[in-house]
Amino acid sequence: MNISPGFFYVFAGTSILFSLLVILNRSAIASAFSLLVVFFSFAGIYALLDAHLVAALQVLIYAGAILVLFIFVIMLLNVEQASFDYKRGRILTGVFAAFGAFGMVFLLGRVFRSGSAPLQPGPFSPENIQAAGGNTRVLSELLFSEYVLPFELTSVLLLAAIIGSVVLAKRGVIEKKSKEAK
Amino acid sequence: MLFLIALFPLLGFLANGLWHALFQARPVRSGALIPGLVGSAAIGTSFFASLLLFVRLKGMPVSQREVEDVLFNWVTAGNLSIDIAFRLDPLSSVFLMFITGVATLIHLYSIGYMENDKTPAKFFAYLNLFCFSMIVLVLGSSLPLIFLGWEGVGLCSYLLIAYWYSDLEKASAGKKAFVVNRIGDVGFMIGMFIIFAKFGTLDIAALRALVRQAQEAGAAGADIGMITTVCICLFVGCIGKSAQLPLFVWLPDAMAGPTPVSALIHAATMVTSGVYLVARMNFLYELSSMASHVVAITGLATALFAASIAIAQTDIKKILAYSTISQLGYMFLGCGVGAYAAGVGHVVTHAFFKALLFLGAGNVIHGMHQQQDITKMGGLKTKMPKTFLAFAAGALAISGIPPFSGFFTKDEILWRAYSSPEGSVWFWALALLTSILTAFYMTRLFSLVFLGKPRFQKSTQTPGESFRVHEAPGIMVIPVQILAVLSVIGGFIAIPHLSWLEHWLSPVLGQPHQSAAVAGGSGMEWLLMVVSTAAAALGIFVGLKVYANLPRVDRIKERWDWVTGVLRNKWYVDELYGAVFVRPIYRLSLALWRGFDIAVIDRLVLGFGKATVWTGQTARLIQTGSIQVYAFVILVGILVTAGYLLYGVA
Amino acid sequence: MSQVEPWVVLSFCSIIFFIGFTGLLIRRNILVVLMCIELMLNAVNLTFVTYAKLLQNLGGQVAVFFIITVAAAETAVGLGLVVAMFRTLRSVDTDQIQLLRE
Repeated sequence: MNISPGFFYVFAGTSILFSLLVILNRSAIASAFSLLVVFFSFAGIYALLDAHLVAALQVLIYAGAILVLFIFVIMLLNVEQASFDYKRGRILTGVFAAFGAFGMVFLLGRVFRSGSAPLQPGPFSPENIQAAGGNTRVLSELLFSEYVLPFELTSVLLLAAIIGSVVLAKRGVIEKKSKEAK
Repeated sequence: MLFLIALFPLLGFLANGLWHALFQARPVRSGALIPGLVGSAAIGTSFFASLLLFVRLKGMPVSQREVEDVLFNWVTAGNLSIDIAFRLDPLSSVFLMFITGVATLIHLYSIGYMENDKTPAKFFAYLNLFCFSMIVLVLGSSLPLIFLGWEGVGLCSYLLIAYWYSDLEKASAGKKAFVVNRIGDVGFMIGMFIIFAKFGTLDIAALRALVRQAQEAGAAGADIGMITTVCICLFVGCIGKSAQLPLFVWLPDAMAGPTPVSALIHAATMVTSGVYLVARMNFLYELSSMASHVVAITGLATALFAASIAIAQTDIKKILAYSTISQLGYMFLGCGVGAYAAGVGHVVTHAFFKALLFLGAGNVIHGMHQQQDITKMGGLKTKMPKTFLAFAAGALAISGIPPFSGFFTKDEILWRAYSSPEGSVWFWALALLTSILTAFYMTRLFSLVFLGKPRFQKSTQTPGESFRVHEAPGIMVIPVQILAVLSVIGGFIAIPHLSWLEHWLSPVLGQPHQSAAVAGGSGMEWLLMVVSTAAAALGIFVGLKVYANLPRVDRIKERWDWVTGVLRNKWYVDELYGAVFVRPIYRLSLALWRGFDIAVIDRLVLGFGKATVWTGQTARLIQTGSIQVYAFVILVGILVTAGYLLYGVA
Repeated sequence: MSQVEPWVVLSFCSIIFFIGFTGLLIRRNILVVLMCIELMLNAVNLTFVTYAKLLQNLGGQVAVFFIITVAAAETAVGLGLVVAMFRTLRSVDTDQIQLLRE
């Protein structure tokens, strides 16, 4: 693929390193900050792959919204760190899991390597996209034409999530109020 | 219209059954009047409808006398298609009328007889269910439907014999009847299977048409062996249901049931369904002379055998039971020699006089406070004059004294046994001997019960109790008197040569076989008639003479002790069956129970249970509740699947 | 060497995915478990984008757009649940939250 190998390997290496940190770090807050680095690296890879809108969304939503939410909750709960230790049995599981995951990666890599069957390229070559006004414009037009129904359904999903969060967050308050009433 | 006849008893059964289930679950003495009236009304309406249908049938041209009523499809499987369909033709019409008629009278009688019963609604529900089944049996247009009625009457018979089920002896009598009947039913079923395999239909009209067609094409000769097999298989069913040799043992025991039940089921209707089946399938029996011979010889042997046992019995109902078996033998003899109309005629008159005798016996038992031993009766003539008169009519009818009804039909059978090409002089002679025995044992019964001096005052078990023999109430006497009138005049439907019955049944049963040699011999017929009348008179005369002097009877008994012993013990048939069939099977069952049931089956079943518990307890460990363990298992699953897809398929 | 083979990118995605999965298995803090899920979702997103580039079809990027939306909603609800759970059970330890066992 026509991407710069230097940048890709830097970003990929950073991602792998910091995702390992995410899962191995004992402190939740450290995990969260490692995750932030992974998100940024991913945004870089997206940009390399000409997915400019996705790269922007990655930074805005993952790094800007989701991760902030995580950090916010971690600070809100403020649980002491000692209880976050892995258990002894868990390490054995981890070894097994790592082996299993390695097996999966190996299998998938084999698939990806051998999967060089001639694939029919779609209409969105870089030249076409450039001519039509760039990645963001083309993607937006797609969203509002071909994918308009899922797009609208997404709004319903978000609404449901909002209501759900509100219910979860307010439940304790309501219980407390009913207790006071008694 | 036709289904209404069956519907009314069914409604009666439902009404009484629900009434019993809802209100009489606890035994409460509540009188038999209301349930009895409901039951009687149900069957009475059926009787009325049968009469209407008979009139309608009579108005039709002779060759088209048939009413069919298809209700709905019952079973469809492969080639097999069975409709719930009723068909009325002259034969079923005759059966229907006497069944519903006699049943109505017996229902009315039961109101009096079951007066002090604790669960009269149950009793009348069973009786109505029996009538329903019997009507289905008679009206069913195909063999499976007949079989349905056949099993239904068997069930009701069981229920009613064991009606007083708290008495162990009565309950086991019901069981015996049920089990013995099943043996015959296997034969019936095998016969049906063969018919279906060979002809592809179980509808009787279609079957008849097929057989006739094959007969005309001359192809029937090839299949004669198969037809014989079918006939004998069906006849095995009849042997069970109609209590012929060797399956007759259940009928005497069935007398444990209430007397109206004995009158209705075990004398007038159910036990004649075997004769009905043979007459219904006459087109098959006519083709196979061997099967016909089997029927005739079985019938004759049973007639003689049962009559001989009846001589030595002392229980009033058992005597009548053996007499029923003997008379059924006559009917089969008639059918076996090709005189189906004569057989059916005897069914009808027998229904009248045997129902009469049983109900009369019921009156006697009722009046004697449940005493059934005739040696402890005597002199009831003056105590129960109405019953005495009616009983006398019945006894004369069964003995075959003209012009009582039994004479005509029985004599017709005797004549056919002699004159038919399938018959012979020996058949006639043995049947005549049976006739003498019949007259003798009926006279013995009659004389011991009604004549002579009372023998019960001194032999009552509880001398202190006031013991007053009394005539039965009106509701029990009037049906007996109606039956007595029918027994006297009923024979006129079957007067030889002028026989209305034979003419009426001829579209179904055809003409009786007449051997060429004796066809013209009407002189011979008269002669035989006189001989048989004389024989009956002889039997009666000897009976009266012997039993007028009871001490002498005892002396005779002592001298011929081994003969009377054998007869009293019913030729040891029950003991023989016990030794040959029942006890070995019992031992085998015991061995199987210990060796196989407990050792193998129970262990297997319990093992399944234990294995399930063990599996559950083991599998429970997997459910840790930890999401991460679940996720790990998923990973393993994916790994295995992906590995298989990559390396396993190719 | 100015090229990166597609399988390299895709294998990279699967590595990240299974690092996330391993984290999911070994961590007890439910917040970290949720982060691992985000990691796995990111790996899937990258696969979509790679194929979009490879096949010159923008459908993949549209899918990523939807996945990001769903992930945002999921995180919001998931963290809400964690907070509610913490209120009642006073714990975010998955070893102690095994209600499914009974």
